[in-house]
Amino acid sequence: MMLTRHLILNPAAALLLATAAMAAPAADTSAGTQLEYWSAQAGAPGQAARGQAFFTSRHGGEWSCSSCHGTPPIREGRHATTDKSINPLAPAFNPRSFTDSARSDKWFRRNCKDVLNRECSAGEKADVLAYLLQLKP
Amino acid sequence: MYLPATLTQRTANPPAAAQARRRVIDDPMRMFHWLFAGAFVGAYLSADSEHFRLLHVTLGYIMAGLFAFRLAYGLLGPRQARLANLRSRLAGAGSWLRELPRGGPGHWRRGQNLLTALAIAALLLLTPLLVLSGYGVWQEWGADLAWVDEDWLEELHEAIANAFLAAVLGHLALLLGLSLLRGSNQAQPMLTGQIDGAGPSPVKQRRRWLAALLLLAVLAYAAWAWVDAPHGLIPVLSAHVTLQ
Repeated sequence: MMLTRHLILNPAAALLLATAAMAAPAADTSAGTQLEYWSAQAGAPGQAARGQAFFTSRHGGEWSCSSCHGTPPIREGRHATTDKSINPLAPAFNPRSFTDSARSDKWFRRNCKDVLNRECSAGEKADVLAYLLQLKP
Repeated sequence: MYLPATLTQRTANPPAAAQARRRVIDDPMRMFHWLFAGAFVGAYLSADSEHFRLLHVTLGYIMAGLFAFRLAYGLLGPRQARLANLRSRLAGAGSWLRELPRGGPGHWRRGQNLLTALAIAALLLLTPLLVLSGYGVWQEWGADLAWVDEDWLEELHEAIANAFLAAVLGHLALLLGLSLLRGSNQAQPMLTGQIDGAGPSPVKQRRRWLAALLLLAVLAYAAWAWVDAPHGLIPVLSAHVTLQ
C-alpha cells in the first residue's frame, strides 16, 4: 500500500521540484542584445521604420501586432479576444520586456503564428526590436 | 413483401448465444469519459493560439466540472463506478512487485491490469493539478512578482498538460497492445458499455437520464460561455455572424 502511494505521489513531487527550478527569472538578455543577435542572424541591421510598418499592419489575417499590444506599444495593451490587459511591450516602459530569451522566443513563435500564420524571420524580429527600442518616454 | 431469410430470422428470433452480453459500464460513465476526452483534446489543440484562448479556458472549466462529477459519482454512485475499485486494483502493486522474480503467466496478466489501472489513476490525479494551474494562469497568479519568471505558472501548466498527454497515450497504447495480445477489442466496454459473454451484469441500471443531464449541463455551460465571451469562443465564426 505504501509503495502504491509513493508511485502515485512521486510525479507530483517531481513537478514541484521542476517548477522551483523553472520559476526563477532568467534575465539572461536585454532588448538591445536581442536586436544585435537577430540583426546578425538576418545579416542586416534591424530598421525601426520597417519594424513600425510590420508591427502595425495586418498580414493577411485578422490581427496585427498592435491589435493586442497597441500603437505605439508604450501603454498596457488589451487582448483582442479576452480583453485582458497586457504589460507594455516597449522596453523603455517595461523593465522586464525582452530580458528572458526563452520567454521572448516562445512569445515570438506563438504570436507570429497568431498574426502571420507562420513564424517570423530573423529580419522581421530585428526590425520590430529596432522599432520598440526607439520608443522613449 | 419479400425479405431475405436471414434478415427475417435475425429480427424475429435472435440467436441467444451470439447475443450474450454483460453490461459493465453505465451511460453516465461513458458520457463522462467521452466528454472528458473531447475536452482535453480540444484544450490541447487550442492551447497555443490567442484566437482560441477563451475556447481553451472554457474547455478547461468543462474538464473541472466533469472531474467534479466523476468524484461525486465515484464516491456516491453505484458500486461499479466507485473510485475505491481503482484503489483496490492499485493496492495489488506491492505484492505484484514482490512476486516479480517468480513471474509466470498469471503474474504477467496481473501486470497488464495493473498498468491499465495506473494510467487511469494518473489521469485522475493529474486533472486537479492541470485545471488548477490553468486557472492560476488565467487569473495571472504571481505574474507581477519580481522574483519569479512572469510565465512560471504557464510553464508548469504546460508540463502538467504534457504529463497528462503522456498518460493518455499510455492509456491508448495499453488498449491497443492488449487488444492485439488478447485478440479482442479492449475499448469495447467504453464504446458500447458491454462486453461479450454470459453471466450477471455488474451494471443494474443504465441511468440514461443522468448521462443526458451531464451532456445538457456541458452544452448549457458552453453556450453561456460563448455568449459571455466579448468576441465569442471561435472568433472567426463570431466575426462572420456579426457581419451578416
